[in-house]
Amino acid sequence: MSVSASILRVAIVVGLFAFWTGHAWCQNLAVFPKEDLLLIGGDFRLRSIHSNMAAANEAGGGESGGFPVADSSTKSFFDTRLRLYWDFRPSELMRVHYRMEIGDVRFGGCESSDVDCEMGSDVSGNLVPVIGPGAGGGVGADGVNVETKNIFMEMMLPLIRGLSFRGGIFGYGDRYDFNILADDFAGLQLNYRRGDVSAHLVYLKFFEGDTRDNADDSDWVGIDAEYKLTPSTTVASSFHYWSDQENKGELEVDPFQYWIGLEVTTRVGPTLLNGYAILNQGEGYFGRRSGKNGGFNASVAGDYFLSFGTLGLQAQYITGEAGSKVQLENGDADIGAWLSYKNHMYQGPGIISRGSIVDIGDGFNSKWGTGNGYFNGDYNGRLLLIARGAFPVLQKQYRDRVTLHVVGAYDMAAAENANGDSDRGIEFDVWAHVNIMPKLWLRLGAAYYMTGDWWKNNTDASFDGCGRWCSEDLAGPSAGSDPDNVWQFSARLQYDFG
Amino acid sequence: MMRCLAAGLGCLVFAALAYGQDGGHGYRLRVEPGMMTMRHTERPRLTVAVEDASGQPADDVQVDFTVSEGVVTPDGSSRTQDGRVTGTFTPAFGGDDPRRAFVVVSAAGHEVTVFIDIVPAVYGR
Repeated sequence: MSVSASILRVAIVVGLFAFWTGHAWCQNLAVFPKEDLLLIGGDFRLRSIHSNMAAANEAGGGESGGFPVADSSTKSFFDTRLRLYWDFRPSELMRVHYRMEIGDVRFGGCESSDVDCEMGSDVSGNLVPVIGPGAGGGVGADGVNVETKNIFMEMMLPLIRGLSFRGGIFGYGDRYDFNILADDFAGLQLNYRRGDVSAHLVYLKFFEGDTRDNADDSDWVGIDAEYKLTPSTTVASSFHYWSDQENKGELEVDPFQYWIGLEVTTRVGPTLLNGYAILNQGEGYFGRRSGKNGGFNASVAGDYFLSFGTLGLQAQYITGEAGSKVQLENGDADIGAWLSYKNHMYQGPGIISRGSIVDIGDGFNSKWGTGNGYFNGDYNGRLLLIARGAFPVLQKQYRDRVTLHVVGAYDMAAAENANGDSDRGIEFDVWAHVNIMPKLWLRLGAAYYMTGDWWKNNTDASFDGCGRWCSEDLAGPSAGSDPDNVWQFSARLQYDFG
Repeated sequence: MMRCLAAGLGCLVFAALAYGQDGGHGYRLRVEPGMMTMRHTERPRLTVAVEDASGQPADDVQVDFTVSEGVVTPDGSSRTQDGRVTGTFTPAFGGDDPRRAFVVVSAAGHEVTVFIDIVPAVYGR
C-alpha cells in the first residue's frame, strides 16, 4: 500500500468523523440551538362608539382630531383590531420580537341621507379611512390592512451585568405621561437595569432616514435615568433632543427642540405621590413664521389607596399665559409655548389620568384644538385639574370582577380668548370595567363635556376644528358655533392573550 | 446614598443597595429590581435578599409583599432560604392602560417599595 493510499483512507475517516461530529454538534450546541418559538401573544379588540363628536374632520385636524362638524348629527361606528406578537428566544440573553396589527378596521359612519354626511368608502363611512378605501371588512374587500408595529432584536451585553441592547423598530415614549412623544420608531437603544438604577440611551430616526428627502428626516436622542433615593422614593431625570426636519420649512437653519425633565415618585403610607417638571426650549417653524419658543410643563398627582377603592387628584400646568397664538400673529421673536412631538401627532397633550379617560371619552379636551395644529403652539397653555376614582363594585373573591371608574377634568386655557374668557370646560367620564373571565374583559362607558366660554365666539378655535381658516378659506363662517351638550358612549370588548 | 455618592459611577454597576440597620442585631434588605417598566403581559420576577448585620444571608425571615394591584406569588416559601425569597409579579388583567403600580416588600421590620410603570406594549421605554 502506498503512502498516498494510507493518507487517503485516513483523510476519509477523519472527514467522515468531522462530518458526523459536526452534524451532531450543530444540532446540539447551546450557542446555536434550534430556535424555540417561546411566546405568542396579543389582543383582540371590538369597540363601538356612539357620539355627536365621533366624526373626524380632515380640515380640522385629521384622523386623531375627533372634531365634530358644526351642527353635527349623531354618529355611530364600530371597529375591530387584532394585535399579535411573537418572541423568538434562543436563550435568556437574547430575543427577536415581532409585533403586527390588523386594523383598526372601521365599520359604519353616517347615513347617506344625512346632508352633513361626507361619505367616504363603504368601509370608512364618514370617518377618516384609517386603512384606506377598499380594505378590511367591506364586501369583497381584500386590501392591505396589516401594520408592522415592532420588529427588534434585544440582547444582553457582556462585561456589565444589566446592560442590554435593542435595535430595530420599537415603541418608545417618555416617562411624563407621554407628554413629549409616544409611538413606534426605528432606532437603537442601550438599557441598563439593575438594582436601584434604571437608565437608557436611545437614538431614533424618523421615517425614511436619509434615503429620500421628501418626508421627515428628523433625529431624536434621549437619555433617561432613574435612581432609588430612599426605600420608598425614586428620582428620575431625562434629556431629549429633537433635530426637527419636518418643520424646517424654508428655514436656513435646522430647527430643534429639547426637553429637560425631573420626576419624583414616592409612597407615603397608602398614598402614591408623583410630580414632574419639564422645561422645553427650541427654535423652529411654526406654520406661519419661524422663531424661538420656550415653556414648561409641570404636574403633581396623588393617589390614595383605600379599602373601598382608589381616589386620585392631579394638577397639570402648561405655560402659555401670554398667548402664543397672539404672539405668533404679532410677529414676536419669542413665543411662550410648550411644544412636543406628542402634540404634533395627537393635537394636544393627552390626558392620561393613569386610567383610560382617553379610551372612553376620547379625551374631549385633550383632542379639541384650533384645527391648525397644537404643535404650532397656539393654545397649548392650560391648567388641568383632574379628579379620579376607581371602586370595586363586588366584594371578597369577586372584588376584581367589576370596577367602576369615575373621572372629572377641568380645563382652563392659559391664554384668554378675544372676550377675555379662559374657561374651556369640564369633562366627565364614567365607565365600568368587567372582567368576564381571565384575559377577557368588557368596558362600558360614557363621557360628557360641558363646554366653557373660551370656545364661544372664538375665531381661532371653533368646534368644527377649523377656526377662522375654515371660515375664510373653506366652509364659510364657523366662528360662534357653540355645541354644548357634547357626549359619547363607548363599549369595548377585548381578549388579551399570551 | 452616601456610599453611592462616594462610589461615583460605581452605583451604575453594583447591585441594589441594602436598606436597614448597619450594625447591631438588625437585618438589612435588598430588593432586585428596585424599579421597573413593563408591559401588562409580562411577569417580572422580584428577588429579595435579607442579610444580618455582618452581611451574611439570614434564613427563616418572613418576607411579605403588598401590592397596589395584581399579585406577587412567592416562588416557594415566603421565608428566606439562603437569605433569599423570590416572587413573580402579575399585574391586574384588563388592558394596557398606562399606570403606575407598586409592590411593598416587608421583612424584618423594614419596607422597600418597588415602583412599576406599566406601559402600553406598542410604546414603552
